[in-house]
Amino acid sequence: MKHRYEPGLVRAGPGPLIVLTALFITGASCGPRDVVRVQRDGEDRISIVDRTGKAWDITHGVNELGLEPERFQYGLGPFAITPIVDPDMLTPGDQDYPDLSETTRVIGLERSGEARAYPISVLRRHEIADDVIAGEALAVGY
Amino acid sequence: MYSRELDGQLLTLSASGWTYDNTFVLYDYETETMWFHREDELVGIGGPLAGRRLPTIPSETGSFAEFFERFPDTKYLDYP
Repeated sequence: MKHRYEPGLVRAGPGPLIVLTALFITGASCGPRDVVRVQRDGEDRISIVDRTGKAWDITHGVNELGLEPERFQYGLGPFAITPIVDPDMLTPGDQDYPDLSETTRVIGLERSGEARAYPISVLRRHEIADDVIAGEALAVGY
Repeated sequence: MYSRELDGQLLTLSASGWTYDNTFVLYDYETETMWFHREDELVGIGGPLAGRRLPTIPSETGSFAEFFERFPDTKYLDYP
């Protein structure tokens, strides 16, 4: 199959409030693209191109999982939303440790006797925190 | 919440800047494979780790107070 440029039309429907809020907070330009640029090359690789010009291989997703290229939206680029990586953690007794009655909503988990809590408001901004809990490498997401 | 260890290597997961049906699509810094949430796991949808899977790990959502009551040694994200 020779290389061809095949634009697809994306319905610019309303995203959920959380997506738009996250994008607004990160300062990224809002709104899904009207057109997702889909690229197919001579080796039958299928890619989508984001607004930074970066091509992302989605071949397996399309061929094996039935994903439709046109349903990928925004394409803000790989560094528009940056994860928290290997964060410092506060322990009880630390000056800034939250009060035990604190109502802040968190994602919490306990693994092998170690418990960690991550405020959801922070996770909304970064989408992912890459952390290690009791020696287990996890990506905390909301 | 997902395991980010594969074949003994650690992956650094991040938002890719893409959504699919209003769900964020992730990728890893190490191989730039895109990871798509499907049926309680992440699946690599293209790139070097296409077809590989990262399992989800159980977690809870609630108030800090509720979690702290059960786990008084809870470590809390230190974020400026």
